Amino acid sequence: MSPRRFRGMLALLLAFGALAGARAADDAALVAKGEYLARIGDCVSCHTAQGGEPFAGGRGIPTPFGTVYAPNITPDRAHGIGAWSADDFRRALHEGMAPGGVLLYPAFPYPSYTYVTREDADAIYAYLRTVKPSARRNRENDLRFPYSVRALLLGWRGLYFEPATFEPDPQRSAAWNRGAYLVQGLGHCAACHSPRNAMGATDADSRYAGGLIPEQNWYAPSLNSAESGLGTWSEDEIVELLKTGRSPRGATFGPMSEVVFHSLQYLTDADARAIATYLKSLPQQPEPPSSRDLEVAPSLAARLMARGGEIYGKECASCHGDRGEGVAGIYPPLAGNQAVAARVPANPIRIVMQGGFQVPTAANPRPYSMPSFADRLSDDDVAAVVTYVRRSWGNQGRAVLPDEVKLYRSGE
Amino acid sequence: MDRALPSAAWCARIAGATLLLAAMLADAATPSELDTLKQRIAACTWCHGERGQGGRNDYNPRLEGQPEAYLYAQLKHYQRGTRAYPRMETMVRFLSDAYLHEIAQYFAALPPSGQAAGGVKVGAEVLARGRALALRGDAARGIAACAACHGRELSGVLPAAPGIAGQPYAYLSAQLGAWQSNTRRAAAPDCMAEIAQRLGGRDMQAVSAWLSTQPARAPQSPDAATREALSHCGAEVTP
Repeated sequence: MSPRRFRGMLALLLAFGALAGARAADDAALVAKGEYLARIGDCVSCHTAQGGEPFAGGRGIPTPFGTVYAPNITPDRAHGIGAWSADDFRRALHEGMAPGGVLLYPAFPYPSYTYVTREDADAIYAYLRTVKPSARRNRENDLRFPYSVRALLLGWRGLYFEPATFEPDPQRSAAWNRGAYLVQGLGHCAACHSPRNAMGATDADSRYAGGLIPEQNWYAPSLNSAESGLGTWSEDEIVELLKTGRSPRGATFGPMSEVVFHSLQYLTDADARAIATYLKSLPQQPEPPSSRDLEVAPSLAARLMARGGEIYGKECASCHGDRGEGVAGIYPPLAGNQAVAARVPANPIRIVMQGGFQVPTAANPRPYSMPSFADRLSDDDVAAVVTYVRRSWGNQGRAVLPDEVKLYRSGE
Repeated sequence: MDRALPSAAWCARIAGATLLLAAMLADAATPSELDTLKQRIAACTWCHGERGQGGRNDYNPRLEGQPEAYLYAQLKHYQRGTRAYPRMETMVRFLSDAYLHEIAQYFAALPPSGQAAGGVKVGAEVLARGRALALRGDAARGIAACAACHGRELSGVLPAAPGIAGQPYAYLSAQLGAWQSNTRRAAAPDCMAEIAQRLGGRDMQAVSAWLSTQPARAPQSPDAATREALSHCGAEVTP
């Protein structure tokens, strides 16, 4: 080889090397971006069974139509999505359709994920190719007839679903648009914070109006009404709740704690603030009428209040304070806490009965806890103390009846 | 107008005041009495007792003085769903391993009460039968004595065999039932499952009743015989 030719070859090799290096750096950046986005989409939550390998599926999602088991989305070729192309993955998010035209059940929140951009879908795809493959076999859904017939989803989709893309609003700030994109798309907030109709669909008119999560019996509060929404929250308070599970207005519990744990605590400060900006801008709606609203006879309400006050003083005041003020950063306040006084009383009833730890986050790794009162308090006593906290210190929730406690006790 | 420059004395006074203020602020920032593990885990002690002695009902087991490795393994089992009890599974669901270790250490370090939980009224005959099973087993039926692995005083053996003396009757009999039905499991060979499967309902009642009347004491270090007995069983694997 002539020296000249050798130099030429060397230059070529170096150039390839540099290209390969740049390519690897690009890939790493894409995977890191995909990991972040997969967290914001909270994929791991549904696609991981209790004690199971991450993304290997198997968790049952209870619905009014039966149980849908989230599939394995690790890169295993036989049992996961290792044989899927980036196009296949995008189609699943955007159109709710798996390879071979298999229609996906909307327990997979593609009515929200449809807004995810091709670029972001590709990043998530790149990330999921890097997670540990699992040979865990997918579990058949356990749906009642006729919901078990996948072809019927064609009808459902005709009524309730159309693939869509996120259209930024040029009149709004970049932060607002980023927040809107995350809330409507990957964050799939509407999946819980909207009422569902008899066919399990949410609709645009009542989006973010709040709803009782089917089968789980936790109430996801409205995000856009003055009484229980975020209108009176500051952006800082929303950001704090999203990232730490705590805020001066209250703490998360139940399914929202899970979302904070797996997903929201990882939000960049900019994204958390963008979400808060967008949520604060939602047009405020009047409280929707609720079939669950009920009148409680004044004499019964008075009895519940009196008994509730006694129980509160004995069991609750030592942490939550005589006036429901809580202790900043430790025990959430009950006075002015919308979760306590919400229209649907499921949450305060269940929290009193099952107790639990606040969600551990990077900001709160050794969380405080609340005892479970299910064994200690009868249905009457739970109704009394919950009525008391819903109607004291300026809270204006309605009274709660022992029968309602019974309803949630069985689902504890 | 003539303005006097601050004198050296003034400067010293201001510096002193600043130091004092800083010291006061630092003092105010010391952890309050709320910042203790005990306060953080109020949900645990509410059901398992202020001193980990169990109680409030006829079921919740005592935790004080139990081997730390045993307690930690149970917390992980609940977290992973390999030990089933929905309330505990929900409680520990997201807690970090470091925090679970801290909680296990906390209860392991509490001194046993020396009390017995009891919780059932049975005749002397039943108690005698339970005592015989617990201390001697039944070789003819392949049933090892509880004492072989849980220690002569049934108070547990380090590092991971739990104390079973002094636990509530309802708790003990429920655990034997869970081992028998395979809803509570250990690594193979799963000695507890094998033993529970050889026990009849009356055996379970008798042995649970007698154990519940024995005082809760601190776990022991294994002697040669216990080490030998435990070596035939799959260890309690921390999940």
